Order: sequence, then C-alpha cells, then structure tokens
Amino acid sequence: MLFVRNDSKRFRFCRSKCHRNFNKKRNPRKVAWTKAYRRTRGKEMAVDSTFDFEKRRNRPVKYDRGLMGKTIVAMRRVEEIQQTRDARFFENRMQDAKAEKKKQARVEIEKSIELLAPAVANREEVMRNVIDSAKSRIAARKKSSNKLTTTPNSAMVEG
Amino acid sequence: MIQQQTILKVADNSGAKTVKCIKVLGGFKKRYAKLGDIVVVSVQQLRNKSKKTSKVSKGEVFRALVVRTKKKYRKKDGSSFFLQENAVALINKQGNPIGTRILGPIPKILKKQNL
Repeated sequence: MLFVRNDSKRFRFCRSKCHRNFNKKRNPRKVAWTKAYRRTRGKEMAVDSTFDFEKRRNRPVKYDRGLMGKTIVAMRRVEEIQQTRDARFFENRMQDAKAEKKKQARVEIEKSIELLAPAVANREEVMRNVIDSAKSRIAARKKSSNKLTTTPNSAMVEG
Repeated sequence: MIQQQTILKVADNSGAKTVKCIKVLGGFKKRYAKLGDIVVVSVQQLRNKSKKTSKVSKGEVFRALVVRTKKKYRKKDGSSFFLQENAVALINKQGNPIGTRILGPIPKILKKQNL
C-alpha cells in the first residue's frame, strides 16, 4: 500500500501495523521493532556495499531479456552475501554475550550441584542397565550365529 | 468515494478554495466518484477575498475532475495507493481546465485524461 502525502513524499506500508503506527505519528527510529530503530542502534548492519544494489535509480533502462535474467541471478547472490554478512555481524555483536553465558552457566552449576547429584547417580544406573542388556543381546546373537555355522555345509557350498 | 455534498479541495489556481460536489456524472444513479471521474461542483470558498484575482465566484457551478482521493485506488497489478485529501481541478464543459496551474501531487493514472 502506498500513501502519497501532499508534499509528494511516498510512504509504503507492508501491513496495517506499520500503517497504524504511522498514523499515530510515531517516529520509527524510536519504535523497537522497526528496521530504522535497529539500524540506528547498531543491532543490524547499517552500512554495507550490498545495500547499494537496492538503491532506486531513476534512469530508465531499455528492456533487455538477458539483462533481466542476469539481474535475477545477481539478486539471489546479493541476498546470500547479505545473509552471511548479517550472520557475521550478529556473531560479532554477541561475542561478549557468549562468554558471559558460559561464565554464568558455570556459576549456576556450582551453586546447584546437589540438585544434579541424584540425577547423575540415576543416569549411571540407567547407563549400566543399557550396557548390560546390549551385552546380553550380543552374546545371544553370537550363539545363534554359531548354531548357523555348524549346520549342514551343503547349503553353504551351493550358496 | 466522492458523492453529493462532499466538500472537496481545489487543486488548481482558478481562485476557488473549496467546492461542494452536487452531482456525480457518468451514469444513472452513479453514487460515487473516484479518481479521474468528473463531478459537478459549486464553489464554496475562494482563496482570496478579492474577486479580481480569481476566475470564479462563490456559488458558481462548474464541472471538476477528481484528482486526489483518500480512498485507495486499486491498480490492475493489485497494488493500491491513496492520497492525503480529496481534491478536484475545475474544468469547463468542453473539458478544458479553468486554472492554469495544478497544485500538489497528481497520480499518473490521470494521464489518459489529458489535463
């Protein structure tokens, strides 16, 4: 949906949420879920060479089928690159948070180690049961395979 | 969606400021006029108090072309747009504009009706 203001400025809305916020005269730079906010606060890439591909150019280009095809391929590639760069940006931003999380996890484990103890003991028992049953199964299979090999050799020779 | 009694702004320099729609032209019992339709209007307000600078006077009846609507106009490709106000440009019976300049944005849709 496109809104044209009397000063000829065009505003595009993707859905009524955006439209309604606009009507309430909210400044998108202050509304947390908008791209404008995220970019000004440094949560997402604001400056990147991939954005130059999306700029509006007002020069009309003579229609050329080959060019159109190439543009579509290029669009896909630019999208890929943008996504990898976004991911990298996010990683960089969250680096400190990762170290923090690890530290906090360690602290929490130390604090509540008693909670884990019975669970750990139970786990050992469960693992022991699993291993025992597996061993018995292997033994049973070996027995049956031994039985097979000692049956008449004529069948084996033909096969 | 302009209908009878709708007050419209005037987007040209004919001297009128607001007009009231008296009739929607174009069919039997046609209720609403949209972008590009012609309506019959009567002048309500003038831009200047002095009548010398305006080509129209209060109460005069003219035809007008709707150039801006707040109602969304749907294009064949499914996209739509709307403007900030309802506005018209005054024309005479032959279809020639009374003003010499148009003020404000006008959608490209009106190109087929040469104004």
